[in-house]
Amino acid sequence: MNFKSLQLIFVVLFLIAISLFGTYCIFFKKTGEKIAEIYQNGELIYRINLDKTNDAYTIEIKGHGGEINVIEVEKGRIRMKESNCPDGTCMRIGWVSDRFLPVVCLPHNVVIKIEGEKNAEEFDDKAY
Amino acid sequence: MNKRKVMANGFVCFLFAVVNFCFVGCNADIQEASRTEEIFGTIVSVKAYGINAEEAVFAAFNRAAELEKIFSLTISDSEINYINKNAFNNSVKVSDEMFFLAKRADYFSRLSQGAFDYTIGNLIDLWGIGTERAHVPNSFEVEPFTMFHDYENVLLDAKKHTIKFKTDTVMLNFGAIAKGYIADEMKSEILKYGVKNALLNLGGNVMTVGKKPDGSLWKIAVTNPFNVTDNIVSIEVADCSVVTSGNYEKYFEKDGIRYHHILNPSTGFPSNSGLVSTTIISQASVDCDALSTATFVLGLEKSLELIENLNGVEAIFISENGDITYTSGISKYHFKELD
Repeated sequence: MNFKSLQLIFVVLFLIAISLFGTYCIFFKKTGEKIAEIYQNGELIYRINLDKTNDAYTIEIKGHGGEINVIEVEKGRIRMKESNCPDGTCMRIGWVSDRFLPVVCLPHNVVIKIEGEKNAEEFDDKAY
Repeated sequence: MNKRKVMANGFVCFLFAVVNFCFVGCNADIQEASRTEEIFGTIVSVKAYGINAEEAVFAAFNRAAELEKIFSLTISDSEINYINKNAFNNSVKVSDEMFFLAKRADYFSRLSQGAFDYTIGNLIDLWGIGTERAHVPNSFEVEPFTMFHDYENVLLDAKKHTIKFKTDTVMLNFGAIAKGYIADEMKSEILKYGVKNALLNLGGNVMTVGKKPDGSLWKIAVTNPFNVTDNIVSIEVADCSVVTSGNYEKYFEKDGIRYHHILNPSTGFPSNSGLVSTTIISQASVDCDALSTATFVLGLEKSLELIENLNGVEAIFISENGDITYTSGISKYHFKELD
């Protein structure tokens, strides 16, 4: 095997690598799965793939001052099921399944956000 | 041999160019800065694109924090709390920002003949909607705050930059306008950094900088007031703000009745004008914010007349029976009803 053919193999491998990388960039970057993120006091405490949630379940989040939030997770959606906060606004938001309306429990500083989701009818933002 | 070497080198350079192009191509997507924070009791998120995006977003949040220290009623040593404590019968010198927003709020209070009123802080406190103290007050508790248009009892001295209250019933509350002003100020901060595309959301108040990075318009959905996880209409905008007021945002229920947070200053009770959602589109978010509240209280007919008489302002009104009404210039925003 001479130097020239080695060079050729190297070049071919390189081109394959580039094209694979390009394909990855184009096809896999934007296919968003529906990911719910739960924050407590600004810290990410749970990341849940809602598309892969087949059986519903609940998560209990406790604060240092006796704050309790119960979050219910189902396939494709999530909600604040129970909260002992004074206003209960977080529970009234109900089920959420898109990235526009975060569920916020201000008194307990608990936030549920959905990331990586794209509607069929794609909106950039929502006014509410 | 030499010639061959040159050719090989040339080929390697070409490969590097291809690889670089590939990375840059992907980076065009990635050059985006975003941040979400709680400011002024709401969730504020900003997404900016292009060079300096990171710095621009940082500066915008710094500006928002500065303004929060001026206008927040929950920060005990805020400027507004100082004024509310000291301005009765006494001229208080105020910051440029405070004077500007008070002047703007005064304009919208007069324009809407008191449907929007930035001086009903006491009434808002009495109801306590959105807090643990939320309750339905007696009509005699409400009365002292509804007898006058209290914005007429505020003296704004442009020369001396002072604010003075003529009666002790006045309490400033910029809850229906400050988010709009903060959005405008965050946007001008972002523009200072040369960023041409950005999207801001302040607790549901949308503000756009330029168009989308790909040159198309921002597509904004408006919440369905009858089912808040759903959308009812969509519009497409550039360099505009979109602000919605709705009866679903903050409320409490007592004996099966929903008491929402938009109070009618002349009755002292939650507005019952027949409108359940009002959306205003205009360049200045401060105008959108004040007008969405004003129109919510004024009701459909008066609101249509008010908005049609303003330049560069469009509106979408949703009545309690589900009717959707919009102003004559809405078509330029590619208005669409969704099913």
